[in-house]
Amino acid sequence: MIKKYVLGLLVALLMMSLSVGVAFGADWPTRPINIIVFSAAGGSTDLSNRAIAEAIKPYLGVEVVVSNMPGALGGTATAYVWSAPRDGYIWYGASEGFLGLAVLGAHHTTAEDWELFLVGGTPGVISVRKDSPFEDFQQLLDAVAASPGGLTIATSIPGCIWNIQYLTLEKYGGYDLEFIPYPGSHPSIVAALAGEIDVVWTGLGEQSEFLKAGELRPLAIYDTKPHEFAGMTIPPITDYVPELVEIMPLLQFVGFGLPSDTPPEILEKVTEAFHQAMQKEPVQRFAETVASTLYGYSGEKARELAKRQQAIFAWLLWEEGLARVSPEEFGIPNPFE
Amino acid sequence: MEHFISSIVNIITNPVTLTTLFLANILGIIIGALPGLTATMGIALLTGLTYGLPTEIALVILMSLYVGAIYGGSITAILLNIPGTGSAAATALDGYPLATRGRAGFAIGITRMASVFGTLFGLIMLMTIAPQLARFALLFTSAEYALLGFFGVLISGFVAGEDLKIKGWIAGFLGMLLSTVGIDELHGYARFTFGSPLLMIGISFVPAMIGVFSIPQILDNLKLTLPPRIPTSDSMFPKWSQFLRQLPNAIRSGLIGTGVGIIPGVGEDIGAWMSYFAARGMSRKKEEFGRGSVEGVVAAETGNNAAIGGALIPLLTLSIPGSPPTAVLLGALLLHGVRPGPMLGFEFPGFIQEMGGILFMASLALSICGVFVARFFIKVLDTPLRILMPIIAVLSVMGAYAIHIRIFDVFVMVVLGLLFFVLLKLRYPVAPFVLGVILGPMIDANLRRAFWVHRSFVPFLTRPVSLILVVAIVLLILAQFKWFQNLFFHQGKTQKE
Repeated sequence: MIKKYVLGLLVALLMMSLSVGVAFGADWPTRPINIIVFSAAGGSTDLSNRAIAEAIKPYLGVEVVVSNMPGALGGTATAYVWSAPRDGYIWYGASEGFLGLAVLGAHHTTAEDWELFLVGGTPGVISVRKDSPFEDFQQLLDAVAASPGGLTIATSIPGCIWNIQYLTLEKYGGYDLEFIPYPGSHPSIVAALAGEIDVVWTGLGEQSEFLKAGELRPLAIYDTKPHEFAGMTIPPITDYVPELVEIMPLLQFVGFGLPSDTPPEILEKVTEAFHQAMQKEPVQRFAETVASTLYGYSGEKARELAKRQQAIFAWLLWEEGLARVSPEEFGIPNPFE
Repeated sequence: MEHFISSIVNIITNPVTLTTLFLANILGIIIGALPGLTATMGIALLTGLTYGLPTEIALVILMSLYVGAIYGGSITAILLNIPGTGSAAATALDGYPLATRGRAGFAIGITRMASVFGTLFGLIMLMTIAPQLARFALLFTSAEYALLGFFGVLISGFVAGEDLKIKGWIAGFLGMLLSTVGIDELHGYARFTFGSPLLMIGISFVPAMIGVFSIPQILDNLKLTLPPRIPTSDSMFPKWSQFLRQLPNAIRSGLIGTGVGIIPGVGEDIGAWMSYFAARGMSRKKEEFGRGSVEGVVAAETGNNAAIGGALIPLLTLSIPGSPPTAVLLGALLLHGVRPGPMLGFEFPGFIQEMGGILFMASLALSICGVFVARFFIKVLDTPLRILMPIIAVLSVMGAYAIHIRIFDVFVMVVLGLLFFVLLKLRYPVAPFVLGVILGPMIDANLRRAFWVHRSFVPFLTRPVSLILVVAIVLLILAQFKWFQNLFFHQGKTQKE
């Protein structure tokens, strides 16, 4: 009896494994969905995906599991999701950081290859420690202009969004600080607090507690309008460097994606569920915890934003000598020409 | 204080929480004991699984697992000379010799006591002087990190080498050299990769550690025709008097472990080494170290568990993780909407005390669960070697593969294992090599960053912590020279006269 049961189960499993790859869009989903996050647990990419997974479950009627697959700048997870069957059961949890993967030689896919669902993002803040001589952004800029390369700045790892934002200040404003790389946002903040560097440029989410406690002083926010935070008004960087208006928006975003060649009826269902889930409590809580603005972009809107930023990322990385493959190889147009 | 008590009462009075506390602790000990599974990995895996649970239960599970995993590494270090985690590498130096003399039970018992004591010590520090201690973390900049890492490698070479000290240091430097293979942290430049994409990933320390500890062990045992029978009949419950005799040593190790834990990014493994080194320096029975010194295992195991409370101090007060496992813990806290940092006291009053209560219960669970798990592992020694060694070989391959799911790591493990099979015959110690691989990236990136920021070596001598470390390193090296020893030796004599 038991044997028969086990045999039946095995046959059923075999049938199921054979049917993988044949997506029956009509009754999708029938089994748990797995979001593969391309960075470690605890970062904002991971937090946003866990929140959206929790919120989207009821609308899809199946379990949504999040796993982390960090490695090779995120290339490991990208390759894994890309090589999975197009049946809508494996999603790709990523941040704007994936836009640099192609020119960095980590994976061959570009923004065109993904159907993106952007949950939200946190704005970039330029801060100094509380006993710094710089009271506002203008004083800092004047000091930089007086001695180019004389002040030090930390913006987390080279090639991340904060680093790219800083590079635009260098490119459009002509302000030149000595960029010191640190292995992440936290070490960058610690270096500023310990007095090792003069300026720190990372996300508002990572800096929030230090700003509230008055350990860090925010000088400007990378945006075109002022930002209210914890009773403070942080002025926009464009007040001081108006030239930056033309490159904005240059946003951090976190969320998930599916390969563009996934059956359209599956993508439709995901889109519908995604927009409903965006309104739910776990997503709202995520936004509050890491001081993020919620986007809720999908489809064409998300693709246009990603493509535009990809061009900026790719060409800035290429100009800085950080990229290994030319953006031309992928047909990414140069936004600075 | 009332939050501390109430969180303990909450755990005890809720059967579900109490059960998960014990289960997570057992799981933690097993994760720690198995080479290749680390505390960091365990917490990362369970962070996802506990997302849907209430915050308190999730924290009970994660903290209990953390405490268990840091202890668990010592079980395999003692029984098989294969430390389950990097933090137990120092424990193997004296734990394994104790086991070969038939005192495995005693060694496991005394390290359990030391681990519980260390956890409680760190917890008391966390509860009483966390805000004051947090500032200590900000004394460390790139220069201090580089020197501290270098000091750590030198010390492990100094204490682990049974032969010439220089051999310990050569092993340490070899580890540091290998750690530079791959993409460099500052410029993204590929070093020593010879154009191979596999080498770009670099040598990760878990496969390296498994290889150098387990492969020589397996090969050595294959040669034995008759398995050495180690009688393991001794009790796993040392007398209280035996532990009390170690109390000064344990308190010193607790202080050192907590202090090291506070320094961001420097974790339990350095906590163990520094404590071990201090114990050896202060010991009246120096000759026993490396041959089965009880002081040695107590120091190492108190030191690494005390680092847990230490690492939580900057995490909760500055939102800066003190060690790799607490970096994952930060993510877990954020998932539950708890933002640690300078505002924690205002946003979540009593949270640090609640964490203290959970940590207290976790160490209590450890004193019970440690016995059960060790009982199971100690049976391992009764397994004939011809059966045990192939099992360890399979576990080693699995452990090396599991960490990044990469076959390349298995090759790293095998090649380094064979290399050390030879080096061990030439009496080069293993532990400094492992520490060199762990600390190499920290030393390398921070040393270059310090020069980059300051553009001179002057700050290395003008910053207080940095100067202390420079002096310590210079003394440690000079102490190897006869003329320098004579200098002090004669001084000692003249003082006596």
